[in-house]
Amino acid sequence: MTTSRVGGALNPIAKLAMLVCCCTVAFHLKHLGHAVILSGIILLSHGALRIPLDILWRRLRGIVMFALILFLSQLLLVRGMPWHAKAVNGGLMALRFLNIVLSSHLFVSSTSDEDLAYSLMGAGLPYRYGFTLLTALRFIPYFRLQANTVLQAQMARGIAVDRPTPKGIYYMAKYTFVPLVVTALSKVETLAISMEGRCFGLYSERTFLRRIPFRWLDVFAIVTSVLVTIFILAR
Amino acid sequence: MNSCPIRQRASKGYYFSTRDLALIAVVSAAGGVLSTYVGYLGNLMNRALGVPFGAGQWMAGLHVFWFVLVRVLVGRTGAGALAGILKGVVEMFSGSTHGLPIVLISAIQGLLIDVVLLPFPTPTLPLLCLAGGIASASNVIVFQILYFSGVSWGYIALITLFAFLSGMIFGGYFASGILDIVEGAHLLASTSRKRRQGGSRLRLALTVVMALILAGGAVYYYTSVFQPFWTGPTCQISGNVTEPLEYRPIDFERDAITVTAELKGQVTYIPPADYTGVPLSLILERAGPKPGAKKVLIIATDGYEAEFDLDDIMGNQNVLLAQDGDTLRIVAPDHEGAYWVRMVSKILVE
Repeated sequence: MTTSRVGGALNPIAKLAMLVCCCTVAFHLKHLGHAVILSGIILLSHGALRIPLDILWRRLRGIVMFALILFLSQLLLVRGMPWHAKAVNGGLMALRFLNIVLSSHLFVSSTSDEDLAYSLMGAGLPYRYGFTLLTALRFIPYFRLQANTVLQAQMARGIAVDRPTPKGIYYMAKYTFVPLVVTALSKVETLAISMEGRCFGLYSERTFLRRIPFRWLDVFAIVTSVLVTIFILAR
Repeated sequence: MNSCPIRQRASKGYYFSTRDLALIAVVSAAGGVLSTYVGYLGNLMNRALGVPFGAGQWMAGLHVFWFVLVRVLVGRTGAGALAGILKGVVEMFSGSTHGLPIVLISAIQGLLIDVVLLPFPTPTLPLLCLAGGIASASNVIVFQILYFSGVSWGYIALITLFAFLSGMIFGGYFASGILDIVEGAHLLASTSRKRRQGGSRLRLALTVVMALILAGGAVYYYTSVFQPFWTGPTCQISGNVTEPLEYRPIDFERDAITVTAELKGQVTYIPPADYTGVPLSLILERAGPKPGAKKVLIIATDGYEAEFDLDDIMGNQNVLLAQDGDTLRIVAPDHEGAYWVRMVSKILVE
């Protein structure tokens, strides 16, 4: 955990608390200007963490397009409001959505899943549940690969599992979910035996090879975030 | 494995055994990864149908399918909620378009599966469908609480119905089929799964019920909710009238008159100006107030209300219902500014 970046140096729990505060504030903001300021702060934080803008754009362009659709839908579909009110509402909704997603992206980009699980266990989460979280997160690349293989295989057979139609959904459920469920369940027994073979769960407490430190900086970050959130909510 | 002392100790001391936790972790991971793809297809569906959100709710049941699977296979209350949290975290880390709220939404869905199945140790197919439907529909409600979109309640009710049906189909019916496969193929060495098998007649009945609900929902939407934006603003005239009607400026185009009026409100003042609209008395006459009706309530989209005396309105040709951009407003000469109701959505005769 030694890193020169402030975001990387913070304990994941502190970052999680900041993310929750940021999302709470994003949901609460009623003025377009305030929402723009929050977006600016989040984007600057991305810059401070040295996340290149081109990578950010590549990852989030779909989200930006969706926010744009939200804005346009407010303009075109909502009735019974003057145009300027619809534009402000649409802008607020799109920015609220963007702020939530951007702040979550900031958290995910600056936090390793392993660190999050270890810091939660360090904070008192029973280690069996902590490792369950860790196990689930570690299976992400595996299932991503599996899902991709199954999808490609089914499409190669001519099954339209990638069509946004009722038939496509049915095919996807039938021809993608079933193989993936079978793959997932076939892992369960092996994994459970392997874990128990290593005495997982024998003792109610355990030691950890690595610990994520919780410093005064983390306390400061949490307290400041909570106070700022309370101040904004109370206004 | 039952003879292993570690396993014995683990299963004695802990609510969830190691195998349960492994099952929850693995299935949640698979669900989280596939849900990102399902969400992508949902967005494609929205775009294909030209709506900002809602159409993707046809796939909402695919998100809760995993919780039903876990809850039945583990056979313990809490498994659904735990799977919900884990799946939410997996989705967040694997690039969900919802960010942190997906953890909350997912956890609520898992929790609802637990709650619905709590009183029933041996869940039947209808129960699984009910649990799947409720959990699936909850995502629409949570999203509206978080993001309130401002679209009509009719549309929200419709997409909630879509989500519920999807939950019944994928979370109940489809999950039940998968559980049969898992059992038949002996994929898990031992399982605490307890589930009464549903007969083919029951499945057929469920399919018919779902088809009827679906058809009814579609008919209701196109007859009562759907309003193309090109038809201009509308307003319902109802209550103590013989012929409740939906007012559209285009239907009364020939009856429009112009009056000069001055708005004197406590805060707002608008100097005398010309307003063109249809006399409210004429619209009410078309609706036909019943004998005994005494007042007219003008209701705005934001809930604001103003009350007129029916006799006053019927004898005054100058009180107009005028089009104001994309909305309707009352123009009430010689009345206080509070009577100049903007964004009129309903006129109630009482």
